[in-house]
Amino acid sequence: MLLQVNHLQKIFQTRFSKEKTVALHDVTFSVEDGEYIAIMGESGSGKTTLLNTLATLEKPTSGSVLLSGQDVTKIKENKLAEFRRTHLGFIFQDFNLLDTLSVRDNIFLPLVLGRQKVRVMEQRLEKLAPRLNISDLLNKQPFELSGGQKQRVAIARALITEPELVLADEPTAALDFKNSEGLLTLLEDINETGQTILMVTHSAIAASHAKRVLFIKDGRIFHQLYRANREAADFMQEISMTMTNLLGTEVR
Amino acid sequence: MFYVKLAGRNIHQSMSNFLPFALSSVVMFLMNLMIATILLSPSLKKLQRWENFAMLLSLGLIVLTIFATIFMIYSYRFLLKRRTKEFGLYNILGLKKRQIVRISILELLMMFLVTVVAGTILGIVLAKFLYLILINLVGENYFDLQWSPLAVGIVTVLFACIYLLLMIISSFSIRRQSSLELLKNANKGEKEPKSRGILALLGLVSLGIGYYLAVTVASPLDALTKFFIAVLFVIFGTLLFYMSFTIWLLKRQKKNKGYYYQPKHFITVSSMLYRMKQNAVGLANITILVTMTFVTLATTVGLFSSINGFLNDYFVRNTIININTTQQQSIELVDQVAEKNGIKLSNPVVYERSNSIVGALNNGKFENKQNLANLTAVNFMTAETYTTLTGNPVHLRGNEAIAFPAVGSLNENQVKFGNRTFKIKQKINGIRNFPSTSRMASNWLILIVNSKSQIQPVLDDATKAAGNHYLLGFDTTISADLTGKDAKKLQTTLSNYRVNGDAPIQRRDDSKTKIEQDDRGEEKTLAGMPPTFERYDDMHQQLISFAGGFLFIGLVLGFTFILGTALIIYYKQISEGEQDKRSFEILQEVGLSSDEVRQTIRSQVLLVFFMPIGVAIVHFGFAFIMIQKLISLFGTTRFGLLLLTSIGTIAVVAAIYYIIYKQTSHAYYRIVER
Repeated sequence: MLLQVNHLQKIFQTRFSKEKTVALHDVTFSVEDGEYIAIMGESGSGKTTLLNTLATLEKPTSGSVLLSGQDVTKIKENKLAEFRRTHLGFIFQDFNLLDTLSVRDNIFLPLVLGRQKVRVMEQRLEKLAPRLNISDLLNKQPFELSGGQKQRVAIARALITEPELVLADEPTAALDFKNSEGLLTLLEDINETGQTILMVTHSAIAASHAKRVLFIKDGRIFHQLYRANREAADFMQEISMTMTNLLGTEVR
Repeated sequence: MFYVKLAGRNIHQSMSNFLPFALSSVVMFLMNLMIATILLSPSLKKLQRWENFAMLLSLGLIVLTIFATIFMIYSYRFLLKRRTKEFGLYNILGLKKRQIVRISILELLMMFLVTVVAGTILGIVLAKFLYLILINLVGENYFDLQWSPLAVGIVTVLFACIYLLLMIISSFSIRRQSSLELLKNANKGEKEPKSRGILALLGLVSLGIGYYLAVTVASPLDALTKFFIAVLFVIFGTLLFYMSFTIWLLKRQKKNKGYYYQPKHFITVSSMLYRMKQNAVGLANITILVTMTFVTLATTVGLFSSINGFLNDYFVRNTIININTTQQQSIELVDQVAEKNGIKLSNPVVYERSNSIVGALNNGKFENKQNLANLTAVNFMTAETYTTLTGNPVHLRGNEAIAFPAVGSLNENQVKFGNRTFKIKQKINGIRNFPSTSRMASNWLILIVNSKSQIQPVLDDATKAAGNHYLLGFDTTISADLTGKDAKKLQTTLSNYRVNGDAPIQRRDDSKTKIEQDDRGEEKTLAGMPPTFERYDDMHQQLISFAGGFLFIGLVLGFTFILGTALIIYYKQISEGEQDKRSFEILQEVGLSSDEVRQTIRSQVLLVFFMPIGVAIVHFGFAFIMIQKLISLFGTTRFGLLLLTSIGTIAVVAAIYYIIYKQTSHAYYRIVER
């Protein structure tokens, strides 16, 4: 078992008010090695808080998150950055590429921060670039790229550290339909090679490419669906149904 | 009315944006007003040599006005840039561009009113304080400054012009942009700068020429002419340096993979490279401003503080009388006059030396031509006189000579005058009871030789070269301590005598002023000249008021320059902070620890911040050589003291700079920190 989330609770309290907001009630689930899991929920359901907690960007109020047996909530503040760098890969909604760096250097960024040798960095990129179809883009600047290209670069940056877990936060939100489809297929391919992926989304289409979907509402996990060997389109229908029934909202 | 309200609300709401602009506007107004008030005050005319101050103050006012204009434009453009989004929103919500322009003009009008009111009130109060400083610096005690409505009027009109310019700028820049452009942030993507090898080379060459000019300055007058050329070259070179050379250097660092792909260098090099293009001009401005502050302050402080040293070097006794004839005739005359009037000359020192011959001294070869680059005045003295003065017996054989290079230096073992050569047996660095500095703007060399017969041919050559207008020979200097009353009496009496070389001294009954009226070359020489008279107290007063006025203007300008620097830096920090905010968020998410973030910020800010001061110090180092020569134009050549005051001023300015840095980097942290 790669990731084990136990009774996670997160309560926000602003400094000057007594009012508490419960973002996560009691979240428990686990992720196996090589899984591709989607967490679905609408805005304000707590899915981003959950992702941030897994990403060690936020500390939970109670509960634990075990990644390969290590409790990430117990890691000291000054070790967190290093932990993120070595164990996790991130794909963001708005790509989060640095304008000041070229595409190549954006991909190298986590390795540079980890003081990796230049030779190793280049070898890894050489293997990775053709898979993501970004070989021609390496010497460009981020502002010269389209949205889909930027997201592929972001994926390369997430994968180059060979992380145990890739966390994706609404990776298709800023992309058009065609690019979204391409990206989702790409994530599926990457998962095929054994990479564990955890994606947070509110899009049924995006979720339908995962192997398993967890539904979250008001800070609780409500339900989960397995894709088994179905086509993405079939799976999406079931997801849509579930969303409508369980969460009481319309699916976009 | 609606627009007035809207404009007022805008200023109120984005106070943090308007405050630096308002501050710079008020301070610039204040500085201008204070100088104008002092300049126009009737009490200025009660100072001795007030015309000098008036000229200096007008000069200062001109510099300040130019500076204020440039600076206000800079400030305002920054303000505009930060408000494009706001204006864009108005545009989308349905205000026409014309109406937005009207709002921004109303805002400017309000700022103008605030500036005039606040500036005038502060100006009236602070001008008195500033005037007190001036009075103290020039060594007077008369103090009465009225505020002058005329000064307020003039400065208000000046600023009205500046604000009008700002209004034009604002309406142009708002009209030019489309509404979507206005709404969108200025965060457009940029291509990584190309390194421009030729420009980099040109920048270095330009700096090199400027520096070379500074280093090779041979005499004070030379420095004066070369100074401005050198300044232009250095300004140009600095700009090119930041625009191209630094980019070229950073690119080279980037190419070195082993160096570049280290966390410390990776972020710094890439973001500096990215920023260099936007901010090369800003950095060059800061560098030039800091250099200007250094030069202004160091020159004026150095000039002021070296007065006493100069006077002590020059005045062997408190009164110096110079008579253009032989020692024997001179002593006879002075003794006779002194005795008749009951004047007592204490501790007299008397020596005879040749008239000065002025020409070019090059590699030990003296030529009778006026060449600014290496102008040198030479005086001869006999070994006998030297021995009487100092009590040291000297033995000089043949054409041997002792050299005292009082101003400037002499590196050769011989000095050649035409076909006559003097072999330098010994170099000394002082003669007892003899001034070690001159009031001439050139280098000064004293040669001690065996006899007058060796000197006369040289003098005759010089006479011939000058066109035989008047004969060069020997003059006598009598230094003594006299009371003020005695000195005055002696001077008045002596002014009736006409001395002309070896010719007998004549007494005239017409006054000295009459002689000055036909002070036109030959006639004067034929008639002979009255003995010259110099008093320590007179010259002290004269120099103090001169150097004090300079120091005053230097302090005012220096203060304004530092202030300008501070504001430019503040603006830079704020705008860079906003640009970097997102980058640092991303970096932290990807895996940069907060300690590393702090380190990166520190090394980045430190570099961008202290690079200007580093470059400015290098600039100043070369300027120092020129400043030293320039100051010696006014009769002072004390290297050690000048070095000390320069280091002092640099330390003070650097300390102020550091405080500014501390304050502004807080602003940066606040923006960037998660």
